[in-house]
Amino acid sequence: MNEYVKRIDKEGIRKFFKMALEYDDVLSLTIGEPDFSTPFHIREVAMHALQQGKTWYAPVEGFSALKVEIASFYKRKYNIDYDPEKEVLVTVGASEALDLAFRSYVNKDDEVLVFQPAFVSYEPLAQLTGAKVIAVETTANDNFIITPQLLSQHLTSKTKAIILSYPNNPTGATMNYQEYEALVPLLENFEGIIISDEIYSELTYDHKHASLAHFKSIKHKVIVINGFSKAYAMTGWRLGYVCAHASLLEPMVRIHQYSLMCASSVSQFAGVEALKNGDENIAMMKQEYLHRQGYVVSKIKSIGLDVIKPRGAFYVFVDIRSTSLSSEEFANQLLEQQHVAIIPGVAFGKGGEGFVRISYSYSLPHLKTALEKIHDFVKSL
Amino acid sequence: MDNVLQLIMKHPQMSLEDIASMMGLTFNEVQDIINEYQQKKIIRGYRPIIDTTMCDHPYVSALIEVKTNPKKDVGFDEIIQVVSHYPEVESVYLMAGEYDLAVFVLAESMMDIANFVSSRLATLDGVMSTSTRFVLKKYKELGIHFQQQTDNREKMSV
Repeated sequence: MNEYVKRIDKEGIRKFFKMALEYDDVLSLTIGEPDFSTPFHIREVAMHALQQGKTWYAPVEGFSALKVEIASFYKRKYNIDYDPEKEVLVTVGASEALDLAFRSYVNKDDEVLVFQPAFVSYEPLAQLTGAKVIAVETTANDNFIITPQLLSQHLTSKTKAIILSYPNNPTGATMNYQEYEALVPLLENFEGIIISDEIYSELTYDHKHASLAHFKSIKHKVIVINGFSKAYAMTGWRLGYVCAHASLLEPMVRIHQYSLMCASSVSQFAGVEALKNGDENIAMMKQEYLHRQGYVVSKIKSIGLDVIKPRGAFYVFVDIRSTSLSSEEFANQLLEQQHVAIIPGVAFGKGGEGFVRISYSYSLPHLKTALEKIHDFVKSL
Repeated sequence: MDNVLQLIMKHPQMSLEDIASMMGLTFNEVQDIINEYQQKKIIRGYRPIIDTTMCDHPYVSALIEVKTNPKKDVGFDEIIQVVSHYPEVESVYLMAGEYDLAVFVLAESMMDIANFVSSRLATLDGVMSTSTRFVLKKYKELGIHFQQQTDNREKMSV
């Protein structure tokens, strides 16, 4: 086996999932994908494409029509300019894009800063390049955002790449324009690349989504990664994309053409429809998530636990430090006693200790029953 | 339609406290909004949606399309008033198109509906013709799916 593969945690978060699956009646609050089906007009376009037999390979970088819509989406929604022909690459989900970014720019023993708590794939994907992963813990005191102090403490001449993701899974934290702006002077002197995973960008609740790509002085080193999974409830279509300066994109295209060749063509047709006519779907789902978030946050507070109001994504990161249990103990005991599955914060990095992640991507009756059980569990402690 | 109305339509059994928490409003604010809707008769009532085919003695429902001869000065109002008051009539709508009234009825048997149509509805002054269409199976009513809607997602994903 490849020596880097050996180093990757074999089970990771799945260890906890396996335990949860031992119970037939488990009520899960763990899922990290929308509970909505892909909007029908998007599915219809894909069905039509299949009926017409449009089942061939797509161009390596993606269909032009889709790249044009992606560039126009970033301009229309976030006021960031990308040239659709030279600065956009369509990928097999945002996950492929992450892999491409690390493999294109990170060499053995390079340092990669991973801001945690974070999505579980960043660390192993970086490790596959032989990189040395430096986990940088954001804290509840700073609302889990990256401050200039935190960045300056860890950014060194050995740092080759940094990866950040806002809105954040699992904390629900977001960073606004001013908070990013404060980091720019430090990043201007940084010679590596910045990977900005913006997969939850459309689920930003109380301000406009911001990105480090807004800042001209550093835009040429920012690799923006996004996709269709969360915004349009299209997880199973495996469709994502990268927006980056042409020279930054070139090595990523080089790997992509050999490893994947292209993203699924039928998914790409659906993606064009999503970007063109999906704004109302996003608004509807966002409204529904907001309602559920209000409900979950108020119930968690009434149980007596602390929570920072999420500003994005569909997770509540619950502070369980008052129970004196570790996040794993809390999750395990909740599972054993009430058959409710949640994810211990430590699964997202050491900085997640003292917290658990609850996904509110579930129907209200489901959330209500599960939260009643969490209430009973906490009261029994 | 505003958010409170949308929420009540979707979750009519939700408590005012829960609606308040979902909307980011106070209990009193939600109460005031709902009172106002009731006073303005925007909210007309609440009732459960029942799959009558699942009851011990299943009910039968039908749509009766009625063509009428509207009267001068009162138009359709007079006949609609009469039709609406029959207890087996669940809903009455004035329609655009080939017929005038869509009358939804619920009764214990097809024979009861047949009797209702032949002896009471069709004989009304102003009714020109009726066409009765029995419901074979209900799939969705007032936004509620009658077929099991399952969460088919993989139980565990990050």
